Amino acid sequence: MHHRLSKTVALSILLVVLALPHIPAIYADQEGVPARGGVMTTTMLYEPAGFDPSFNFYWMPLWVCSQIFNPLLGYDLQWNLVPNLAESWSLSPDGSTWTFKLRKDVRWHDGVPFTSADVSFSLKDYGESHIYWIPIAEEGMDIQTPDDFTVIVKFASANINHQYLFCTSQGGIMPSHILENVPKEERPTHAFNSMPIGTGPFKFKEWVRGSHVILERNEDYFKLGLPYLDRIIIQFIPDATTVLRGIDKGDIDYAWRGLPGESTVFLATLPNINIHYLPSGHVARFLFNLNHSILGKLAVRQAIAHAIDKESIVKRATFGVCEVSDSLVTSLAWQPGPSLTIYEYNPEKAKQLLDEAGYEPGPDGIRFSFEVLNRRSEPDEVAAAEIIRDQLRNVGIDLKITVLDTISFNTFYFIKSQFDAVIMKQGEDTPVPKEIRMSFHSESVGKGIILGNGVGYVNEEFDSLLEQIFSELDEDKRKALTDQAMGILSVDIPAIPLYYNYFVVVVNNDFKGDFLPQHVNLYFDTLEAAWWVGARTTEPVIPVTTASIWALIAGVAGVVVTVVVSKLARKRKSTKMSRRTPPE
Amino acid sequence: MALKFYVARRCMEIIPVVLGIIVISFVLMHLAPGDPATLLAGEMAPPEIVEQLRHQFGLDRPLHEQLLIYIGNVLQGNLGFSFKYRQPTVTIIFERAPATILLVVTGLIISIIAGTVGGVISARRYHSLVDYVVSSLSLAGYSMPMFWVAQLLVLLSVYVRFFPTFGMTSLREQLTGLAYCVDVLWHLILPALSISITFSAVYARLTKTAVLEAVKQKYIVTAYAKGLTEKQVFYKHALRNSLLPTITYAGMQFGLVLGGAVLIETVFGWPGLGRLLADSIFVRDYPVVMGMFIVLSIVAVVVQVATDILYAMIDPRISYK
Repeated sequence: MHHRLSKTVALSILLVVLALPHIPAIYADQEGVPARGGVMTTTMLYEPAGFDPSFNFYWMPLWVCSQIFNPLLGYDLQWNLVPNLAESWSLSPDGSTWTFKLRKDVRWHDGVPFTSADVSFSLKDYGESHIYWIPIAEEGMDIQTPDDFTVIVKFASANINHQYLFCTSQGGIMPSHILENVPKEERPTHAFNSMPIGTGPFKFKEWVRGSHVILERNEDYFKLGLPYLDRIIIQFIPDATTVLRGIDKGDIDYAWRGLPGESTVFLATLPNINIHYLPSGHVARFLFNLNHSILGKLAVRQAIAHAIDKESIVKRATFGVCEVSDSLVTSLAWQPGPSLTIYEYNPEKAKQLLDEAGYEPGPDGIRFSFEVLNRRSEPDEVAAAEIIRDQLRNVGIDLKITVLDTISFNTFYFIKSQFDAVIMKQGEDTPVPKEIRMSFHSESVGKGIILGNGVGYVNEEFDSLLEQIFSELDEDKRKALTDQAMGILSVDIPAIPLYYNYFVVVVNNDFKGDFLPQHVNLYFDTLEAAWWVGARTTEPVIPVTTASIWALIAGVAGVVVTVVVSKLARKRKSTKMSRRTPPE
Repeated sequence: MALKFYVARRCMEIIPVVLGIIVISFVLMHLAPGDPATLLAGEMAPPEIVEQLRHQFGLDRPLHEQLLIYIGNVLQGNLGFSFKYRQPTVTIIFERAPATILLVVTGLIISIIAGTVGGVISARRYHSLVDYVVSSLSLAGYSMPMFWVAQLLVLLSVYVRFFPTFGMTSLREQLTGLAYCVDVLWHLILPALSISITFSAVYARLTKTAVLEAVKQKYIVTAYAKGLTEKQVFYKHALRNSLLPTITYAGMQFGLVLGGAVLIETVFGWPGLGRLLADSIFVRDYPVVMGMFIVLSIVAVVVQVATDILYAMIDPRISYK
């Protein structure tokens, strides 16, 4: 009985000690008011090589750069320019010269004051290193700094692209006092790449290779009161299933890339999250190698376009998350107009066009076959390829699917041009159609540029229209020119638009604020305005999580001590009793 | 002295093995499409920067020259420079190694202990219900691929909500000291179990077979005749002799366990060498891939040599003359 009693006592102690930390922490009541505090955990599909904005193009490292660096200007929700590092600006009447007045209260994360020398260095650096800036700099870019807080940038001509580059982390200002004397070839290996210093709302605190990056609040940020969050943890998780598990358990608070459409079914069952479907700015395209002996023929491409049922692809490959697109650019950059040629789903018309092009079906019903390359990292594109394969078989075309990792895909598509067709999402993340220029302007044909004109499309009229679009500052005129250009593209059909891509974005209900992008600039929006509902101005009475660990240790120790003591007590008692028993 | 010669001989055998691995992996890596200079410079870097870096890292030289230079560097202890991480390969490998060592060693220890205990129980209660249960569990554990076991445990963690689902530590709380150690051990449980479930099944079957064989030997009869109790005979004589196959198998399986760590670390987000290898292959980070192959092959051979030495220590009949 004594033994049973000590076990009961031990169990009771363990249960009480384990339960203690789970009593909600006691706070003052301050609901609904943004307050400093909290840690947000988000994810990244892959670990980048570094965070130097000059050498980064992809959205993932650039999203991190957006937390660390500031550009000169920014966009509001209506795509109007707003101040950032520049508190005011002016544009010359011909649109070629920008004059910026810089803020005087900005410091780098290492405490050095921010000046016009940093802007001058950064823009020149981009002009020599960054693929978007190089053509602009080559045309002519002169930078003057009459004083520490004035920058005058004179371009050879007006270009709507300038505005975009001043507003994103692809034009984020870098510290001249750290990088000015670093030779270009040493930049990829310089410490700045793995421990960047910026002026932004968050400082780069830690990078554990293979695991995570931690950013912490910049206490000297020039926007008063911001940011609210103490830290942002960015974990490298390539697997969507793992991300979903983390969201389910509350270990991941914000996920905006890498969740497939099918995950929405599971996400809808989770109680404490908000799901948003935000346009990514990308259109999934079925791109042709225009030098292919069969696919190079317009009639064949038109036939394939008629053979594809896009509604079916959207339903089955994206689980209804995306939208059918008849345009190669998103509605952000251009609203489809009357000039657009739309290819309705019509298998009979497809067969007719193929017959007229001289591709009759053989005895096995197949007219010809070709191969499409896909990226393994984009499951919706692979699923779309499988659906298209079935649809093309109905019109007598045998499509073979090859799935590759991204590097192999880029090598075969962009660098070596060894492909028949590819499926890939590309597009615009701002109202400026700069990506269409990269993808279809003849200037990048045959140059092996990643995300360049890999299909080999050459049309002088289209090229000329693109030049005019970028130099036209009047929005209505620019839209009319874009209409014309997209009309030509839809007639020549170097690529078939499939669907507008939407990201499945998940945010934990415990995080509020105006950080969730209302437009497509997911890649460049900062978390400076995000706040945690649990943040309070006072420290909690009982810090929960550390106590859990210690409570567990204390509980186990308590059980062990109780058992040992009870055993000793029992032994002592039995010894006493045996002493009382007289020997025979 | 004989043992020293034996160890020296085995260590010399590593050299041709490593050379062979370097040549084969070098050729295979360069057959795969992709340009490491682009990785180093960044995919959107201007062609001039890419060319400069290609020249700086000797990537514009003929392949056979690159191979000879690499072998020369390896002989001097230089495993090259990571194109992705932009750090010396040795630094990256040794940064990540502790996580994998912790995972693999823990998994092996659990599997050896659990397997041995299971095998002993099964052997002592031969042809009983307990024996059948243990044997069935061993068969099931052996049949399940490691990555599948890992996925099952991940599913369990989602429903039971008691164990962490990924990572090595809880990053939200900046734990230090003992709390950090406990947190890491907490995160280690499921990944280590993923390894141990498969391998403990093997050890259980090995131990059971060895024990059943050992109890039939004549020295067991002698031990009983000397008046030893059944427990003394079993644990001091039979079991000790039965451990030899387990030790041999553990040494041989170390390489397999390391290979399995690639899958386990990917599933659980464990930041070790396995994940490093998988990530490096996908991004064509040649120096890291080749460095990993070299380090892992050396480790595998060292473990086998250590197994042989341990074998000799346990069994006095073994000599290295």
